[in-house]
Amino acid sequence: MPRRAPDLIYRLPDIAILVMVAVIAISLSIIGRADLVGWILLPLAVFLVLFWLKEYRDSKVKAGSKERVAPETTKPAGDE
Amino acid sequence: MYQDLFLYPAIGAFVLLILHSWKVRGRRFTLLFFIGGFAFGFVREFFYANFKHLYNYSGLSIKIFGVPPVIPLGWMFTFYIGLCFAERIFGFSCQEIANELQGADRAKADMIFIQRLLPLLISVATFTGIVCYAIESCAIDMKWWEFVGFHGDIIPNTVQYMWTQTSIIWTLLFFLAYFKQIRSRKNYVFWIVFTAKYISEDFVFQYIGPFGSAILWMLIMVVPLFFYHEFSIYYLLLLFGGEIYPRLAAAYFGAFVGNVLIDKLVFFVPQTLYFILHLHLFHKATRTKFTHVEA
Repeated sequence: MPRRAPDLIYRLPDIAILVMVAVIAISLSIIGRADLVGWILLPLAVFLVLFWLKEYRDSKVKAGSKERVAPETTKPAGDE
Repeated sequence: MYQDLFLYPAIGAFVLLILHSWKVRGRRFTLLFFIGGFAFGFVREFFYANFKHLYNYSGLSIKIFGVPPVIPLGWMFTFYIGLCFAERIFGFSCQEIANELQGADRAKADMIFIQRLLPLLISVATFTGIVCYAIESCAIDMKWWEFVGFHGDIIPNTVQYMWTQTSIIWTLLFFLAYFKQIRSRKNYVFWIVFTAKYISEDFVFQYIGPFGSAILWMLIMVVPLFFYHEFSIYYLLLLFGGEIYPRLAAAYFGAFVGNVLIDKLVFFVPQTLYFILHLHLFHKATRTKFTHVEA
């Protein structure tokens, strides 16, 4: 079984990458290359889109699954 | 000044990742990933720093055998974040995969390798390639290191292929070390062939003539195409964007050489489309299930 840990622990990678993005963005701004900050945000943007697509796909698959299963689980009227 | 500004938050963020791994994934995973990853990154950088001379690490003061320790740490940071992203996208974790593999026979282990671990591997590779743009751009501008032979914004374009392949080699090696059930002759040969291909590109090509180069292409460069269907598609895109296109551009499309935008488009758009199509609702995914939702 996957190990159980406090919710905050599961968020640590998110916090870590946000720290790194912030630090790099500040550093670049200081040296006058703020135009490169977009390049740092690119990986996050790409993976957020992919994550959203996955969530969308999963929700659709689940909804389709329920629609197929529902008629079989409903007993005909007067069956009892 | 910029190093200090960057270094301490980076160390703090790295500690967060180790804490996450230790608490969520356990001791074995953490030790294998971080100690093994550091060793892997160090060996890789040792050969590049001492025999390839691509980089001049003049902006980094601490070095061991010519390798700044912060470089292997950076590799691990990228690989681990990439793995976390990949798990979240696909909806299964390495720990769930390990549970699935418990007591699995060879056929089931192969299926899990194809349906679970290959998508993770490809995802980490894509993530690493994209991160390359961010890190290389920043590092060069902040004078952490210099790239020998190239200058300006074109530098990330020249190394993204290396970054991506390095992540494939490490991630596959880690999977073989962590998941005992997937250890098979085919997977070992797969790793060896891919690693040999990578080494040959950077350390052998320049020493052999056109004929030898052609033979090497035939023998090494295309062999990884024949192991796994899903990996083959991804590798073909990688090979096209990272090797074939730059060579073609240099030979036939002089106007495109050095064009950062076109290089980025050729390298990343096919990879991103590949993912988007797989995650699309209408993709049948007959060979590889990219999510674990039961239909």
